[in-house]
Amino acid sequence: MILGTISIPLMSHSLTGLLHATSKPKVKSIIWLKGQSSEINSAGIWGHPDFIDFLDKYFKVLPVDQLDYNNLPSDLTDEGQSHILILEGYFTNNADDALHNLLKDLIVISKGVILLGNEASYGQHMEDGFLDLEAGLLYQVETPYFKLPGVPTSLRYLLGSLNHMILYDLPELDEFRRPLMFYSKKVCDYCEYRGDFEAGRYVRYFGEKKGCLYLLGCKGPVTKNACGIDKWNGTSSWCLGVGSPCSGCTEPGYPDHQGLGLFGQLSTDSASINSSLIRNAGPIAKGALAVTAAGIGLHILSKKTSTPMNRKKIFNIEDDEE
Amino acid sequence: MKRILIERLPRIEGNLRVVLSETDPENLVHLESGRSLHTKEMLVGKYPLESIELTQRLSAKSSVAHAIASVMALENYLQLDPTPTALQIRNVLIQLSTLYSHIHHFYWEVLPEYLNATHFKGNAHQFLKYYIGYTPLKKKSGDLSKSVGQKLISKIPMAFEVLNILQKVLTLPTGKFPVIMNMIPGGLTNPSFNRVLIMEMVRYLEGIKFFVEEEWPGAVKLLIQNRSESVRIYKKKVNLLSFGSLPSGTIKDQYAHYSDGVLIDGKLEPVNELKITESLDSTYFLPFDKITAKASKRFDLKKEDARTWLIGARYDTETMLTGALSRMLVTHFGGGNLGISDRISQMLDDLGLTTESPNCIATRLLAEVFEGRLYLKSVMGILLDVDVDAPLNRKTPFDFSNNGTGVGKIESPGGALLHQVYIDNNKITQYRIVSPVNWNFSPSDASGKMGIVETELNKLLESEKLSLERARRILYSYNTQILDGTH
Repeated sequence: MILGTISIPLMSHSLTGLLHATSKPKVKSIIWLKGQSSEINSAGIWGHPDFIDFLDKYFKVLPVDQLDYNNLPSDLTDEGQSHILILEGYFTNNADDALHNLLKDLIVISKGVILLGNEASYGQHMEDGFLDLEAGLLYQVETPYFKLPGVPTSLRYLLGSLNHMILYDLPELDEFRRPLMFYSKKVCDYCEYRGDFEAGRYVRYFGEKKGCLYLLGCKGPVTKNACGIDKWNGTSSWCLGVGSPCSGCTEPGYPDHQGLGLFGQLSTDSASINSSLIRNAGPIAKGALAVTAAGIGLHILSKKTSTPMNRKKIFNIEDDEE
Repeated sequence: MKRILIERLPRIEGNLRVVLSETDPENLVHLESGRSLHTKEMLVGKYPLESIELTQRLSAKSSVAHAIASVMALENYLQLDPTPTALQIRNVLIQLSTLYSHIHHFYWEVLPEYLNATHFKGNAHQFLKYYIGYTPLKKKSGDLSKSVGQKLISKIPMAFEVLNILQKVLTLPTGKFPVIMNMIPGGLTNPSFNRVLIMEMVRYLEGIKFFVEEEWPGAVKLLIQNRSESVRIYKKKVNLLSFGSLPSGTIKDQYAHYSDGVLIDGKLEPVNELKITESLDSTYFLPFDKITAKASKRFDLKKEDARTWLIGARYDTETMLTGALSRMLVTHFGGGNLGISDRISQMLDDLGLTTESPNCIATRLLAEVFEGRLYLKSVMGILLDVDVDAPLNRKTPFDFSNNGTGVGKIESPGGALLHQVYIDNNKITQYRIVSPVNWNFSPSDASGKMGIVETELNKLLESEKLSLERARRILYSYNTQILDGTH
């Protein structure tokens, strides 16, 4: 189901309303496994009090601090494919690492996998010694999965995704396997300075004035995220609102952005105005082309590797009750 | 032959394993970290400003400290001072994030170690939901009594709400949290700071005063009163390190609470960062002279005797304690803020301890409580004092073309945090981070000198059969982000 560009708070509210109207949804299990993680993604729990109530009501979060790393918990194997696996952080490919073998087994018996944060979603840029979750494991199994990238990820996206999974099915995904309901529109589309962009009223150096941050290397024109609507931690604040250009944190190219880096190639000349994306129009065009090509490639690959994913219901409340 | 005693501590950032080396002649306990993310290596070749955002990914609880340390290193390179107003706001941010970290530390890391299933009997639905993925075990040695445990967990919803409010207050001026977005050399990116924003922050903070001043201190005291082993000293004399408070940004300097200094063998001296070294012994990292052009990686997974990615920090070859307790004591010995000096003396006196041998679970937790109260008061003062019309940054371009280096030092929630950046031709050529974990959780070096926590665990092993519950309580009582130390 594509919910398109409607506001995130509105969508969360309507999903929660639908959920309340649903009679006796069966409680599902979640395993939230953290690899090498700083927990910047799960820290949002304290910013969204409704999240723990939601988890408490509709899910049973299995204790990971008492997992037997050599054997799968019997209640999981008995229940069969009924739990959702949330993976956060990096996981090593070291066979001596306790999490390593457990992780592989858990993925196979999961109903669905959510890769939370950039580390789990785009870990392919890591040094040797880490698992590429996607190429190394998820491509090789039937288990459906999707990504919630960001630095950090908004916990509301996780809340909305889990909500959607209970009510309907897996959310519809884009070419990078991100839910379209959160990652379909570009940051620029929601930005309060879009008018300044159109009118060519640019901020030339940090803190100069309110206005479009395009010349400071803002990645808003090429970044898909709903942060401009959702904002952060229940406030009306977000990166562009405090004068910081979008760093494109939800994109697969983050933080390199095809050689541009977070701020473009800032100039050493008289003002950082010369650091603009405009000056790098050539590389940007090539980068965009490469991203598009990669996207098409991934899209084809995703169709090949997980055909049932977009259409197959991973679970259905009514089915479960039967 | 080694025996794993604790596989991982689930409620800290990064992985930590406690291992007993039985082949070691003395049967020593060692700490082993999880894998490094190689953040420092990833920064090489990047534009210098990128370090501000990218280093924050190392810790949800110390992200603000990383952002400020990183930007201070860049300012040091650029020889650019931040504006006074920006300094005031930076003080607000580091103090609030420290308060956030301390409250999280006590309620979500320390307290669960003293709880069991009986504490949640009859109220599990009400309180257990706040500990996602945690299931209380059966009663174990050293747990709190049923009534005390239940009294403490009854305040968890309030603690949750306080963290929620602190996230909001930290987000308002910074764009998002835990990764904040408004730091630049010379100040802050914010195009404006207005009175409405300031008063919104003040209004939120008014709502947490009672918790910070009454509930949380009361809870910590109750835990300490009921667990007498929390005042046990495992290592009598420790060296202390503090980088001191940030400059306040005001002439009267009223908000500079902590002195900087190093206390070694009872002698206090100013911090000289040239004396801060890192021991790569026991780690997978290679010494610089072993890194060849052929194998350019900085590490070797087959390195002999390597067991951890945690680099051991040393000051003039000595191991140091860092954190809230340490900065209070350095301030006391340095004759700085008299309020802090009186408070730490009184606290140690009440516990029957001395300033010479102060380091135990109780003092570490009480120091955080005292600091939290101090910081909340300080933040309110700064917010009501700040001139919203004064410039927030220097409005100047940054020239990173020259070959040079810069250092940023800050007291993060867990203790002394150092960033050092090397820049040439608009790119980072090398980056160095020495975090509190590198001090407190340092592995032993070539001379056999152990860090503070390894020493405590080995003293515990010497004095009695190593109780895993007790070991876990020691480990959790340090405000720890292991990932901070492996980088």
